Amino acid sequence: MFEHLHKLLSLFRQVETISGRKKLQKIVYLLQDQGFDLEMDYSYYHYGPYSAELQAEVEELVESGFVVEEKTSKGYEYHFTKKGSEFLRSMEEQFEFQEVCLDTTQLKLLNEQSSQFLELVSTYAFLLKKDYKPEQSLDKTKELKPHLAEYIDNVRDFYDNL
Amino acid sequence: MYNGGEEVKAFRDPVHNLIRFDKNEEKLLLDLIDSREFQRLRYIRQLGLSSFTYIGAEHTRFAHSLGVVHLMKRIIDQFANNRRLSCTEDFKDIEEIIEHRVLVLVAALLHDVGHGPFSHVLEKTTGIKHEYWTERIIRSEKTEINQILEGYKSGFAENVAKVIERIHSCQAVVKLLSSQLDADRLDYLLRDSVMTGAGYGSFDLEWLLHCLRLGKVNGTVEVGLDLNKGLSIAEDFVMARYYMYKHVYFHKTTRCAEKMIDKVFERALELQGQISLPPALEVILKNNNEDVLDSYLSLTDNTIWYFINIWSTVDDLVLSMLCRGLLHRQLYKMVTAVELDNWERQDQLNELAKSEGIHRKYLFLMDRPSSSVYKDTYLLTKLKDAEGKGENEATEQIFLFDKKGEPHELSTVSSIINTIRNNKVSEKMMFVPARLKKHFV
Repeated sequence: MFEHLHKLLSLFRQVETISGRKKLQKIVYLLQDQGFDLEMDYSYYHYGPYSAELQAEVEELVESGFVVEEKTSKGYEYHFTKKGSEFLRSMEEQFEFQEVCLDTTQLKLLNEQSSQFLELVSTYAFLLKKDYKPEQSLDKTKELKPHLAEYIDNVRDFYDNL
Repeated sequence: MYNGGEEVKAFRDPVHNLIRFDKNEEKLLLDLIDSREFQRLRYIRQLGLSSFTYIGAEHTRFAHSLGVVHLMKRIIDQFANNRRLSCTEDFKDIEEIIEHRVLVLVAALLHDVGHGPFSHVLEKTTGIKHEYWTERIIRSEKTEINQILEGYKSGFAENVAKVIERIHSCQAVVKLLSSQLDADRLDYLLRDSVMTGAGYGSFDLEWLLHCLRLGKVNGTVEVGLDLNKGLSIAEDFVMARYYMYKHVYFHKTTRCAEKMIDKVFERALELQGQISLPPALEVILKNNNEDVLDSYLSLTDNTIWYFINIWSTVDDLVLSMLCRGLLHRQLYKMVTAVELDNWERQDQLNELAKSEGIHRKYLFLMDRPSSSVYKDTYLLTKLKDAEGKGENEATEQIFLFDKKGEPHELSTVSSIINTIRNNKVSEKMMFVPARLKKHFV
């Protein structure tokens, strides 16, 4: 359990702020897709891959004061707290966990994207895992998300360069 | 000419009374029910270890699956008999549902076919989710289910899999099977309530079905309720879920037993090579090719209990202790959970574990709502009133449609539900062996 928490809090430590729950969901999905094993269970819903488990865990982190959920004019932002930082450091000392360092460039790139674009990319990635070929995956993504068609052209290149 | 009613196959059911299938019109469904992969659901309990708490909780995934297809039929027929139950202008969504009637019913019947015994334990042990197995059973040419589906129509199996995966192009069809008001949820709540004897989960199913509507939310079809007639039943339904979650799914005794069986398999894997594991499980752990499906399908509740019985007498103290505890219902006891960042207390736990000669992970079983297999996204997600459009996943919302077809999220029109969603549904728990309880509050 502590190992799992360590990874999740390490993500918040590195990224510091994430704007919006949907964005958080998609960033974690794509990081897992790229090999960062947070063991979050995802299923496909209307806005793409979604994890009820991640949702519940983040609520618990907020309850424990390790992450704060701030209401802004644009929605909700998640910030890593001082308490969270201290707890993470203590965990690393107590259990001798190796510090987790995610690819900063990759993380920054993901965090800079809009939640709609990440919704498209994560849906594309989800379909690839279902053994869709890249072209098929793009076509199916377009079919599932016609309202986001204008962003579809950049999806494959973005994913391939992650 | 009268033939004694031989054209109907009827199942007597404690929840729906009679579940009927026309032997000619619904032969496909009956053939699927008779398949090897579906019949195996008779040996897999719906509620896992809840019978430790509620002695009647012995119903199976087989019964639940029949209940879901029965309810789905009722829902489709209701929409088909009155297209004005759609709040959209052109009733296109209802026409699509009627067109895909057989597809929806088959998906409803097979939606849980990939579940294994003690699903969450098996998923944790193998790293493979039951949804994966559901899709494999439907798509693999070697299964009876696939052969029946492809015998009905070429390519049909793929369509069924897509509905269950929620990526079928007809979203109206997807939403009937997967939404806050879907047939799956309606059946399991009632069934679990009836079979446990916990009356909390009962709600007025007939009125809820009567108030069902289809409408559009942000351009997407959703299943909801009529705002005027359905507000009270919507509240009733959510309260039923709330109480079931609190008193049945998250009951401390059940959660304790579930954590213990988690640890049984964690320890058994650590001892792999020193003890015998279920052969089917060993095959699954070794590889992931076509042959593994047969091994998976051979696993039932009986397999797991057989091995727990064997492991209760092995030399390993931890494994035998946990298995005996489960077999004889000598479960760990609940104590106040230690805060994760209370390092002084965590150090004391480490010392205690050291004195017992057992790793702390097998002595202090921490439990959090997020680790429960029963995740009610509606109850567990706090209301987010400042969220922008398109931020809330529909799985976290219950919609009521007004006379103009405009959607209203339930917690915005119901103060009771607003309060429920902003309260903590369950507490963190910790379980320890009975002999160590004196060290805790």
